Amino acid sequence: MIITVSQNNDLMVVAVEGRLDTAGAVELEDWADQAFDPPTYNVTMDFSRLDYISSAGLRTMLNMSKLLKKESFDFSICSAQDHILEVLEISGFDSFIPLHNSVSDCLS
Amino acid sequence: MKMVEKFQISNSLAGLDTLRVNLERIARTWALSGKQLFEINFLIEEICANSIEHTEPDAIDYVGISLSLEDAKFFISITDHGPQFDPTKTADPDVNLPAKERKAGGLGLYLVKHFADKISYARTDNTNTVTIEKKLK
Repeated sequence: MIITVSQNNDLMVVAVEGRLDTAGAVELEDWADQAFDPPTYNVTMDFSRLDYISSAGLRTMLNMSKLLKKESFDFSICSAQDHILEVLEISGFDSFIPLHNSVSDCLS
Repeated sequence: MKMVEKFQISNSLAGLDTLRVNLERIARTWALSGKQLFEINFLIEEICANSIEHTEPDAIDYVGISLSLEDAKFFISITDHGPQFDPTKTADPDVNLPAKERKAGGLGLYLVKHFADKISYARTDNTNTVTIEKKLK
């Protein structure tokens, strides 16, 4: 898994490339524990190059969303592929994580 | 024509990587779409993740996986020697709850039940067998 962070004014774009599977979820969770201690920006996840998500990956998304919202920052997901969008929607995550078509949609 | 693939993985994180490699090879051989590969991988990984969670770390064992395709239907069978665990009997999480009321757990098997057309469980000779049927779409 490759995590690439880019800064866009008050928005941190976190691009995750590869697989957010059982092992990948642990990696991302460890990264988030450091990066958001404490959170300082709104965050969007760029999922355009994410191929796979497991329930462990979903749990990481839930935890990151809670962590950011507790400190009054926004958390959203951009550019997810259709099969990943479907999993997010069936899980009801779209009710508390805004899903954008692209990073530029998220910026506007 | 019926196509069958059988392999074993260890019930550990490394085993899930072996699973991915095997499924990517099978997907090429069987000409599966990206979405079909994703759903098959998801179904097996979530059942195995439960087996990994319910097995003591010093009791690493093998999970047997059999995957077949016949009459536009996938048949998946997953066997492990861990403690008795019936994934068809787990309570579904409430997917309408807001983030702060959500608890971890249950979501994987909830999604498994969503993606599978049929799922059954048997316990024989200290072995768990989960069988999943899924139409090729």
